[in-house]
Amino acid sequence: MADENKNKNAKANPNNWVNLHGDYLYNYAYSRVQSKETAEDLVQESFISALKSINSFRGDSSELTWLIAILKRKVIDYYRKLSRKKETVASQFSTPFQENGDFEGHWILDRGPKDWQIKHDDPMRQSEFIFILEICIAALPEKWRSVFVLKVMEEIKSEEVCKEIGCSSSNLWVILHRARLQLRECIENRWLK
Amino acid sequence: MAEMSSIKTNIIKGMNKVMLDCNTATSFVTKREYVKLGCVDRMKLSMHLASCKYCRQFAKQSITISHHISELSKIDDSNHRHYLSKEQKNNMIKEIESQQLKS
Repeated sequence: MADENKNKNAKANPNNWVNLHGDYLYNYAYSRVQSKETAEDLVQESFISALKSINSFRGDSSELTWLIAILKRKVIDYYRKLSRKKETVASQFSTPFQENGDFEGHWILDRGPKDWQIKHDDPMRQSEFIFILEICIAALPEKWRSVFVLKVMEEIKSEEVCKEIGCSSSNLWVILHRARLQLRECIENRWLK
Repeated sequence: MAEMSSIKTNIIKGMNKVMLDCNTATSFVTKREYVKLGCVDRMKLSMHLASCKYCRQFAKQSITISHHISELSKIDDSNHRHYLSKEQKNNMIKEIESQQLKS
């Protein structure tokens, strides 16, 4: 984190924003929206919003922290809009559990989790894992991705996520559960290939 | 023979009341990352995990996924994974300048 502007009298300086904070904000946005174009748009919009509310910057926090807060709001708005779009989520989910018979609710055998053999000391494989993770988050149905990013990555409280996305609290847990199942299977299929 | 299989079905039905199925067990694994499970649910889950290697594997993978998600969410200023191009930056700078002129 940049710690310029620590002093209380600091003034925001828009002319340096792009060069000082552009890449940081872009990475922040990209990790949350998994799209280059959207990430660029959100950063750009954040700068414009920041300009409009530049008088509200009091230097209590660093300029970067202030810009991140604005960007974070943009990410939430993006997902609010995305999750309001009509989408047939149910049809996209293929449950890995048996749906009838004596073993209803138990794993369908060839879809049960396998050993990933993760070694935490191999940085190459680590970044490969993160690469796969990003692809698999991007592949989640939009509403699930909205809930997942806001709750899990942005660590926003469940009630607030529900308010933004428009879901009930029990619905939120169902979505998180299914998103986890789909994410897990997607990662496994790519990781063990 | 038919009687045997109905006894078997009843045993399984009885077991299911006490034992979680994998669907519920994995939902508890996900849930416990965010909230504290109730005492009974915690017990049911640990009983299930003790006997189900798939769900144990799921729980292990959940930890791996969460660990990497927090890696992904954290932005490292000295080691970015993506960069804006010079052109993208110039466009942003121009846009900021023109907005400043307007106001």
